[in-house]
Amino acid sequence: MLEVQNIKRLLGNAQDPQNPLGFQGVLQADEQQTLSDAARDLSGLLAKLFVPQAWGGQLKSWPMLTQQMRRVFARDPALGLSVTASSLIATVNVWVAGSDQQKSQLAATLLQGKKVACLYHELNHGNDVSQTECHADLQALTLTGSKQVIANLNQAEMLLLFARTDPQQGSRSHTPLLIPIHTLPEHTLKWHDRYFTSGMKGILLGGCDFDGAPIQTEQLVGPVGSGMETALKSFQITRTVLPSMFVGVLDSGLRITMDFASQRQLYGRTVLEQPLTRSVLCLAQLDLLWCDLFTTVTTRALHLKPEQCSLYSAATKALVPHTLVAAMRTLTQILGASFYTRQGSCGMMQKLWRDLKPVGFGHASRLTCLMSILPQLPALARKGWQEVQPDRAWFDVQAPLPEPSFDRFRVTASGKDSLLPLLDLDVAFQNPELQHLSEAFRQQFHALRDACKALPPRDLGGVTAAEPYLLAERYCLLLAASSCIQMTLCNPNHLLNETLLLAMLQRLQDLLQGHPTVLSEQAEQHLWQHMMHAHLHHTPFEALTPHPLSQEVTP
Amino acid sequence: MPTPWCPSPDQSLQALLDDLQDLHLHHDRAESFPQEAFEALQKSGLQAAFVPEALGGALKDFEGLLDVVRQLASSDLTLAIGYGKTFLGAVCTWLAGTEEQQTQLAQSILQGDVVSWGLTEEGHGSDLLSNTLQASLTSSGEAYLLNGSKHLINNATRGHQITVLARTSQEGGPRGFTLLLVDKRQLTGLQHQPLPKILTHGIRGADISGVTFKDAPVPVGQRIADEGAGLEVVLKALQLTRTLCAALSLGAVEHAVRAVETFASQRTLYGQNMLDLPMVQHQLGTIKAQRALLDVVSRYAARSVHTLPAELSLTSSLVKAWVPSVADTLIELCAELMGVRGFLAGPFEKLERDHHLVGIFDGSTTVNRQAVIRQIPVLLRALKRPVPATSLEQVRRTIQAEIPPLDWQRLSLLTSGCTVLQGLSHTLEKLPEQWKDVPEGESLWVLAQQVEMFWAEVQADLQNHVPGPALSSTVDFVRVMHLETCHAAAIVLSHLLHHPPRTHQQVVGWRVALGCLLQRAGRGPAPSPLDCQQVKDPFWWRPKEVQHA
Repeated sequence: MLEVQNIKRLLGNAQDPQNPLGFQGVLQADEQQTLSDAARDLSGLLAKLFVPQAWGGQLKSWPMLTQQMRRVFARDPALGLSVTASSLIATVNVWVAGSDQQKSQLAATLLQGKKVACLYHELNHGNDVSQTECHADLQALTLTGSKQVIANLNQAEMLLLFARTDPQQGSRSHTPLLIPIHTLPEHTLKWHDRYFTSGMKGILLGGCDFDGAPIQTEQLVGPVGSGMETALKSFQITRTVLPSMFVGVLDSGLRITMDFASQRQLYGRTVLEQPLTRSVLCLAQLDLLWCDLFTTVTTRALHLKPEQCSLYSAATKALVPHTLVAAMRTLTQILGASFYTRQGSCGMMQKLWRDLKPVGFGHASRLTCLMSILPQLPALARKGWQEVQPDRAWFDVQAPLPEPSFDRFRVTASGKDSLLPLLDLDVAFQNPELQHLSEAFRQQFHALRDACKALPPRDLGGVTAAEPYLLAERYCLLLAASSCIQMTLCNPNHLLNETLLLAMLQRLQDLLQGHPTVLSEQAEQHLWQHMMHAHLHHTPFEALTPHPLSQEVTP
Repeated sequence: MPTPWCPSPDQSLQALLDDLQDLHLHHDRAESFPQEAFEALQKSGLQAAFVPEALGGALKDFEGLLDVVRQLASSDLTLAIGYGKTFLGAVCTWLAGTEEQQTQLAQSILQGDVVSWGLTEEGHGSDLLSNTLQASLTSSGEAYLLNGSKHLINNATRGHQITVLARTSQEGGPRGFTLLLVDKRQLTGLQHQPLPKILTHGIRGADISGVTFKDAPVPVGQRIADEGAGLEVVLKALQLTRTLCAALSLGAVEHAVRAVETFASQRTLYGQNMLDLPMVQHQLGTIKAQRALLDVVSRYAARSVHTLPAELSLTSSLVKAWVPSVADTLIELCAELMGVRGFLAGPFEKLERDHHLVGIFDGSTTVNRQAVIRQIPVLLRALKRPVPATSLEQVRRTIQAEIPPLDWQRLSLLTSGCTVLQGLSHTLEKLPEQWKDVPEGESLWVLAQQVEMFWAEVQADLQNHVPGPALSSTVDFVRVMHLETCHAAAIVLSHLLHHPPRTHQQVVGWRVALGCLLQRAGRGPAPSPLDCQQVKDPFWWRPKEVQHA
C-alpha cells in the first residue's frame, strides 16, 4: 500500500541537493521546463492511487487521496498536476459513465504507469464547454477539430476527448470518447507546438488538430449526447479534490517563509521576531486551516452526500483557490527581494507562486462555478434549507467512509443542501464572543434565504445582473462557516477549539464584507503555537492529520 | 482618440514603443537585455527626460517624468525599469552634487551614459545601516579606495557609471556613509568586477546583477556632498524615486486593462460577448474605478514634489506603499478575467510577473510603512496646528493650477505635515456648495462624510497610540494602512472639490471608486453592483486637461 509515509519517503529530503525530487532538483527541472526522470517515475507510481479498488487500484477514500497528494503538491505542484491531470481529470469521466471494458482498459493503462490526456479545452471557449467545436461524426466515424493547451498530450497512450456529437446547441449535443492513441493514424493528426506558460512549466502542454481521424462507437463514453451530464458529474469530483490538494502548496509556502524569517537578520533581529511577520504568517495559517476544514467536509461529501455535490464542489472551487492565492501573496511580502530571485534557498517560493495560479482559472473559473450555483438558489431557499440534523459521520474524521461511488452524482442538488441549514442549529459555546458571532452567521443565513427567495427567474441565467452572483458567493462563504463550526464540534483537539473557531468565523465574516482581517492577540498566540510546532517538527500545518505523521520527522 | 486617461501620449514615443513591442517576449524568454529597444530610446534622445532642464535636459516637471515612465511601463515594464534606472542613478547628483558634477553628469547622460545606483548589499537588503562596502581615504587624500560588493543592482553590469553608497566610518551610523559617483571606465578589470546576473521571477531581461570593488580608487572630486552625508542624500533621493515608482504601476495597470478589453471584446461566452456579461462588467468596473484612484493619487504626489516638497518624505512613502499594492490586486483581478490566456507565456503573464517587483524594490511596502510610522509623531504635532491658508492654496495649485519649478533643496528628511489631510475638514465644508449642481451629488456627499468620519477615527487612534522607538507592532502597520486610505481619499475629495463631476457617468465612477476605497479599509459595504457594472472609461479628468477644459 502506498501510504502517506511512503510518499514522503519517495519524495526524500527537500533540502538535499543530490535529491532530484528535492527543491534544488525541482527548480532545476523547472528551469529546463521539464519534469525530472525521478519525477516522471514517481508520477507513474502514483497513478495507482487514483484507480478504484474494484479495478485493481488503491483509491478508497477521497480525503485520504487528497492528504497524500498534498504532500506531492507541497514538493512540486507541477508533478502534482501532471499526475492528477492524467489520472484524475481525464479518468473521472470514465469511472462515472464508462463501460466496464473502458474502465478496465483505463485501469490497465494507469497501473502500467502510462499517461492519459484530457482533451476538453478549446482556447476559443475556455470554461464554456457547451460551445465545444471539435466534432465526432457518428455516421462517418471520424473526428474533426482542434484541442488546445492539453497537459501530457504528447506522452499520452490514451485520450479522453470531449466531442460535439450534434450540431445543435444544447445540453444533449456532446459525448466524450476514450481513444487509444495508437488507433489514430498520424496523417489525420497535426500536433501543435508546445504551449509555454508562466507556471507549471514542467508540464508539457500540447494541442492537436484532428482531420477526419477514425473513431469507433465503442469509444463513446456513456450514451450519445450524455456528455454534458457526464462532465457536470465528473467535475464535481475534480473541482472538490484539486483545490484541496493545492492546499499543500500553501503549506510549503508557509514552511519556506518561516525558514527564511528565522534565518534572516534585519535591523538587528531576525525577521521572525518582527511582530508584523508573525501576524502575516498567522493570517496565512488561518486561511490554510479553514480551507483545510472546508475541503475536508466537501471531500467527505463525495462519499456521503454525492447528490448534493454539485453545490459543494462549485463552492470549493469558487472559494478555496482564491484564498490560497491571496494567502500566498501576503507571504511573499515577508520574503521581499528574496521572493523575486529564482536562485538560493527561497527560489522555490516564486515557483510555488507561479504554479499556484492555475488552481484559480484552470478547470472552471470562479465565475463559472458561481454561475452553476446561481440557478439552484431559489429552490434551495424555498424548500432545501429546512431544519436538518447534523450528520456526525460526515464531520467526524475518525468515522469510516464508504467506498467512493461514481453513480450517485446528480447534475443539480434538486433543492437539497444538508450543510448550510446547520447554521440554524442552536449551539452553546463557552466563549460569549463566539456565541455572538455564530448567531450573526445564523442571521446571515436567514438574510441569504430571503434574498434567494426573492430572486427573479430572469436573473438565474447569470447574464442579466451582477448582484445574483454576489449571492452565490455569499452562499459559498456561509457553507465554509458551517463547515468550520461542525468540524470544530466533531473533532475538538488542542488546535481545533473555540479560539480557533472564533478566528475562522471572524475571518469568514471579513471575507463576506470584503474587509481586511486583524487577528486578536489571543488568536495569534494560538495559531503561532501550532505553527512553531509544525515548523519545528516538520509536520503539516493542517488542522487534522488523520495519519500517524506527527512522530515522523521528515524534511 | 485621446482619452482623459491618456489625453496626449507622446505620439512619436508611442509609435516607437509600438514598433518595439514584438521584441519584449523574446528577450524575456532568453533572459537577454532588450538592447534594440534601449538603443532606439537612446537614439530618440529620451534620456533627456532624466536630466533637469537647467542642465540642458528636458526634465522640468515631475508629472512629465511620471508620464514618460508610465508610457514606457504601459508598453513594457522591463524596458521601463531598465531604462528609467539612469534617473535613479543620477538623482543624488541632482540633489547634492556640485555644479561641476551636475554639468558633467548631465552631459554624459545626454551623450548616452547609463548610470546605476548601488545601495543594497547581500544579506541585509533594505537595512542600509548594515552595509559593509567600504571607502577609505588614501594617505594622499586624493582618492577613496573602494572595497566590497553591491548586490541586486539594476544595470550594475551595463551601467557606465554607478552612484555607490559606501561606509566611511568604522562605526557606521547615520553619518557613517558617503556617496561616490564611480566611473567604471576609469577602473581596471582587477579593481572592479561585475557579479553574475541574478535570475529573477519577472523582469527577466533586465540586468539585475552586482559589482565587486577591490582597492578601486575613486577621486575625491567624485564624492557627492560631504563625507558622512550619504544616507541623508539617499533618503531624500528615495522620496523622488518612490514617487516615480507609481508610474510603473500606472503603466502596468493600463497595460493589463488594455489586454483584458482586447481579449474580452473578441470572446463569446455563454452566448454573449464577454464584455456584456454582468459579472465581467462588474469586475471590470471596479478595476477601472480604482485605476482612477491610482491615477489621481499618483499625479497629486508627483505634482506635490513642486508644491509641497517639505511633505514629500511622508507623501512618497504613503504612495509607494499604497499604489503598487492596489495595482497588484487590480492586475490579479484582470488575470482572473484573462483565464488561461493570462497564464500562457505572453505579454499579460509577463507584465504580471514584472509588476510584482514594484512593491519590492526601492523600499518595499513594509519599509515604506515603517518610514511612515517613524513620522507619525511629527504628523500628529502638525495636525494640532491650524492649517495655514497658504498651504491649502498649495493643495489647490497641486490639483488645479500651473505648478512652480522644481526646487530640489526644499526636500526634508521629516515631513512638515500632510496638508491635504489637515485640510480635509476644510474640503468637506466647501463641498456642498461646489457640488450643488452635481447630479446625484448627495450620494457622493454620503461617501465624503464617511471618509471624514474614518479620518477622525484614524486620527484619534493615532493620537492615543503614538508609536515609540520600540519595535513596531502589527497594529501600527494597520494604522498606516488606514492612513494611506485616508490620504488617498483626501486627495480624491480635494480633486473633486476643484473639479466637480458633471455627468452621471462621472458620479457613478467616483461613487464606485470611493466605495472600493472605504471597503478595502473595512469601513463600508461593497459598492452597488449596478454602479460597478456601469463604470465606463473615461470618467475622470487629469489635472492638466481640466485646466484647459
